[in-house]
Amino acid sequence: MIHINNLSFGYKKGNLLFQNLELSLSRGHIYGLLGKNGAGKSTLLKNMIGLAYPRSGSCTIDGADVSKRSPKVLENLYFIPEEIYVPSLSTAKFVANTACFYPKFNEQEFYGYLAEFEVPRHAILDKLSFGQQKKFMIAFGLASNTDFIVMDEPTNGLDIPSKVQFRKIIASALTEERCMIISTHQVRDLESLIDTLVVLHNREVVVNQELDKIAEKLLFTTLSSTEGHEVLYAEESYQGKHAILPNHDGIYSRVDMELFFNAIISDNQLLLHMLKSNQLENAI
Amino acid sequence: MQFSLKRFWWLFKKHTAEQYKYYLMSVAVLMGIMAIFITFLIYSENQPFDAGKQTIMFILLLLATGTIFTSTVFAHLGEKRKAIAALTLPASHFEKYLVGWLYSYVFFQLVYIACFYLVLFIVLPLDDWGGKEIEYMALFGTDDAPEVALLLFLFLHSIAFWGSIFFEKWHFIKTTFLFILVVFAVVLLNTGVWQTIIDGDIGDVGPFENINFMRGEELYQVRFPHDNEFLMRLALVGTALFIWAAAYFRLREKEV
Repeated sequence: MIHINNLSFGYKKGNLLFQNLELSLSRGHIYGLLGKNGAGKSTLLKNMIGLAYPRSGSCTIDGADVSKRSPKVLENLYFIPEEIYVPSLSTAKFVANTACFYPKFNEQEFYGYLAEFEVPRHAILDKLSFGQQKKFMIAFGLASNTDFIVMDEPTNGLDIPSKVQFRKIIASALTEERCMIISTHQVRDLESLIDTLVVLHNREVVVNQELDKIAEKLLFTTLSSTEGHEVLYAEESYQGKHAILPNHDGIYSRVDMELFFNAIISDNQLLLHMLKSNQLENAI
Repeated sequence: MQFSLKRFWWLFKKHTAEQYKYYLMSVAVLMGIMAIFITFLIYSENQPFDAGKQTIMFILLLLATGTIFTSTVFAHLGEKRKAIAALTLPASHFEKYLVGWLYSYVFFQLVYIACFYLVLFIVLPLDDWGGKEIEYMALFGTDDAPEVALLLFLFLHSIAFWGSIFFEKWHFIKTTFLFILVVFAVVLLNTGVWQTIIDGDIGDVGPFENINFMRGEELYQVRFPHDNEFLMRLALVGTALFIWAAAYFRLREKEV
């Protein structure tokens, strides 16, 4: 489990980006980390994997302090940053020199993922296009079979077929032992992939809920008019009004993540209050 | 401080596989620089390029090229993409540190000495020795200058090594700039402290130097009871060890 405990972080000379942040991420889930530009998604991920140190508080993985970057923690954690670096090596040489650091690395799986992503098997890595390099690193990260995979904007640079492939592969790679955290600002790329939504806004985690739980409490629908409805948030569209309503009758609706995210970052206190009170009810 | 020989070997192999082209090119450049400088001096001087001149060349090039090369060893940590790949690789900070240290300190000196003698063997026969036998500099002979050069390199290596981790960019320039500032500060402070103690003008005094000063008509000298060379060497090695340790802790604290 990744546990962020009372974490405050700020860059030198700057104000705090996070204040007293609390977050727990468990195995068996794919988390989608959403936030506006500059909200600190990448910084939060860096804190999570020990690449940035908090001013106070801590981040632990299975109880071990990540800021120590101990090999024991790192061999069970794979990070795919937004901008990746690949050395000037062939695929086979990279695997021969890097896979040994990951005890659960599976070469067969790796070449399987490469084939699915249509990345040439005998390529020199730095000669590949950016998208190909990214798919290569995603394939390597998944084949490393680490319990924790953290991805920062993984779909940036991928073409449309590759994004579809990415969703398929990620979904198939999730196991009970694995925890995947994917940060993105392209909400549509994560639809039908993530099961838990984490929203970072105004220096804190304002939402950390499973999509099913959100759907239990909120109804996502399209209305011709909002009159006579208890609307929490609505946006105009050519089909009518996309709206979020309290789900009093337990009707199932698919969570419109973009609409939900827009509602959250518009500081919709009613909706936030409803989510928080529901969290309390769940806790009780 | 964690260390596993197996993991260290993996890291060493990975580092070598990823960097060997750069290192081979560096060796070629090093030999080219040596050949150009020595050949230029051979043709521009009437006197043969004897062991004394070879020693001066050995020292100057060792200190210049060694510190420049060392400044590049951890330069990748200043580049976000490369720093992430390096810092998240499952090896301990000490293992990562040791690979950089081995290449920049141990391997560099071995390669440097080999290249220097190779260039001498190729170039010196071109010189006019006036019928005398060709003379080669002895690394550990009666003249201890090459030995002192290696000691001085140990000291400067530690500073350049620290700078390559501490700074994000312009590693060599920034480290050299800081080094010059610190040397000036130390000389000024050292002189100031001694002037306060002696209460009079003693001129500029560097650390570990003997002091001469006048009291009325009398000239006084404060000297080490024995030759202070040993103390100087000890101070250099001690400071280098301290700076190497500081570099290690800086690597542990490195953020992206």
